[in-house]
Amino acid sequence: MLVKDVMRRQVITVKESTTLKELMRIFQKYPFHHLPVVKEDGTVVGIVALEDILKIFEPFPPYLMEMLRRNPFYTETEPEETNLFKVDLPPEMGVLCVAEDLMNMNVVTIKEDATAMEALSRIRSYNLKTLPVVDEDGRLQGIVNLFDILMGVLKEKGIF
Amino acid sequence: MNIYVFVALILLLGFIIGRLLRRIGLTEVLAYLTAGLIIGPVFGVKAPEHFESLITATTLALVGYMVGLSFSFDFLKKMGRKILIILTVEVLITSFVVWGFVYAVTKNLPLAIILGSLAPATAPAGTVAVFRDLRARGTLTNVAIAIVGLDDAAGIIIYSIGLVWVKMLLGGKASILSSLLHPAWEIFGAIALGGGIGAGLSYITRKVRLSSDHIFVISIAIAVLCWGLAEMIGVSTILACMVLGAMLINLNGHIANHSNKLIDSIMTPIFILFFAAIGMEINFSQFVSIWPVVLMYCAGRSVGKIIGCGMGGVLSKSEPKITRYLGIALLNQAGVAVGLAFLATQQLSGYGLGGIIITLMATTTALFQIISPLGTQYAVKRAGEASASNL
Repeated sequence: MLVKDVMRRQVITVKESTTLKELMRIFQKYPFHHLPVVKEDGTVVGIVALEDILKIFEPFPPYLMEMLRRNPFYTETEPEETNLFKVDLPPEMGVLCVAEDLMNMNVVTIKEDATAMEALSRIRSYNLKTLPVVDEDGRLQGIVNLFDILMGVLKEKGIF
Repeated sequence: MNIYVFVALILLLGFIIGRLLRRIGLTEVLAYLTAGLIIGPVFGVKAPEHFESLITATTLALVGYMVGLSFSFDFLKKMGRKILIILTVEVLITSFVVWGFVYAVTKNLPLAIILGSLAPATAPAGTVAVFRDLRARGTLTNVAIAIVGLDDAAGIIIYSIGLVWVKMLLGGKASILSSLLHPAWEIFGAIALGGGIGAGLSYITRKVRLSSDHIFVISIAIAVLCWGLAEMIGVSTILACMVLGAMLINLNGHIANHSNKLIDSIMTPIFILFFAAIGMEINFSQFVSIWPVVLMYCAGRSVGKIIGCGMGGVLSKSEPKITRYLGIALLNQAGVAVGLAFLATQQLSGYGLGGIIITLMATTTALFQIISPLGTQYAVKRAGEASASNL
C-alpha cells in the first residue's frame, strides 16, 4: 500500500502571511488542528498547529525562547500555562502576528510513492499528527495522517 | 556507602533543597551543590569509585552536544551581526580583565588564565527570571536573552583554548613549534573529530529509519563516544562534543531537534548528580587563603562584563541603553562555569591547581547569585524596559 492510495488531496493550506485572526477562524471552522504553510508555488515551508498559537503568550520573541530552551542550563522559571493568563497582549496582535512567526519550519514530509508503512513509521518516530505529501520539488500534493493509514489498512483487510 | 543509596540520597536532597531555594529566588544549581556539600564535606561520605569521572564525562558530553545543537545556520543568521559582535567582544574582554585582575593579586599566570576563561558564561535561568518578574520588553531585554543563550557556547570555546594554554605553560614545553602545535592539535583535532562523527552520524541517520527510542540511544551513545575518543587522542573533549552537535543540526535538523528534546527530558537528575559531585569536592579550609582571589575575580568579572558589553555595543552601533546597561544585566554566573571548573580540576589535578578552582568558582557563583538579580533589575529599569506596574 502506497501513500498515494491513502492520502487526502483536498487540503486547507495557509500562506506565510496569514494572520493570527485568520488562522483562528480556520481552526474554528474545520475539525483539524494542523495547517501546512505553503509558498505561492505550493512549496511547503512549515506547519502551523493550534499549539503553536501558544507561542504568542511567551514573554519573549519565539526565536529567543528557542535559543534559551536549547541551552541545557536554562530551566523554565514558571510553568508554561501561567503565560496564557498573565502575559499582556495588545489587540493589534491579531493582525500583526502571522503564520510565519508561529509555524514549525522543521517539516517532515513524504513522497506519494513511498509506502504507507514508511509514512506510519515517520509519524511515530517524529511524534507527528500530520505528514505533508510532496512531489520531487517539495510542492504539496496532500496530507496523510494516522487515521488515513488506519482506514486504508482496515479497507484492505475488508473490515471497513 | 552503597551506590544506590548514595545516588537516591543525592537526588532527594537536591530536590528538597532545590524547592526551598526556589522560594527565595535562587537557582537550583546552588541546591545541588549544597546537597553534595552536605553529603561530602559535612557528613564525610565518600563517592563510590568512578562515580565522579563517569558523571562528569556523561554530563559535559551531553551539555557540549546540546550547546552545539543551537548553532544552526538559520539560527545564526536570525540572531544577527550585532549580537555576534557584542557576544565576541564581551567574552574576550571579560576573560582578559579577569585574567589581569587575578594575575595582579596572585602572580600565578596559569590560575589567572583558567579563571579568565571560566568567567564569561552567564546563567540563563537567573537572568531571564528577573526579566519575567519585571515583564521586561525591549531591545536591551532581547539582546540580553540572546547573549545568555549563547555565551555558554562562547565560554566553552574560550575555556578549551585557556585550558590548552595552561597545560602548555605547566608542562614547561619550551620549543615554539611544540607550543603552537599542541594547542592547534587540541582545538583543530577536536573540530575534526566532532565534525567527522557528526557528518557520519547525519549520513547514517538519513539512510536508516529510526524510532524515538533509537534516536535517544544513538545520540547519547555518540556524544559519549565522541568524548571518549577525544580523551583518547588528546583533543578538547567538550569542544569535540559541541562541534558534533553543530554538525548534526546543520546536516540533519530533524534528528538533531528530536534528540535535543529527548536528552533535555533526562537532564535534571543528571545535573543533580553532577553538581552534587562538584559540591563534594568543595574544600572550605582553603577559603581563608583564597578570599582576595574571590574578591578580585568578582570585581574583574563585573568590570569585564560592563566594559565588554559597552565596547561591543559601541562597535556594533547599538542603542546607548545597550552600551550602558547590558553588562550590568549579565552578571549572573552558574551552571556551565561551575561545570567547567570541575572539568578543569580533573584535567589539572596533576599540576597542583585543581582544588582551588572549584572552591573559588562555587564561592563566586554563590556571591553572583545574590548580587546579580539586583544588577539585572537596575539595568532593566534604567533602560526603561520594565512594565509600569513593577516600577
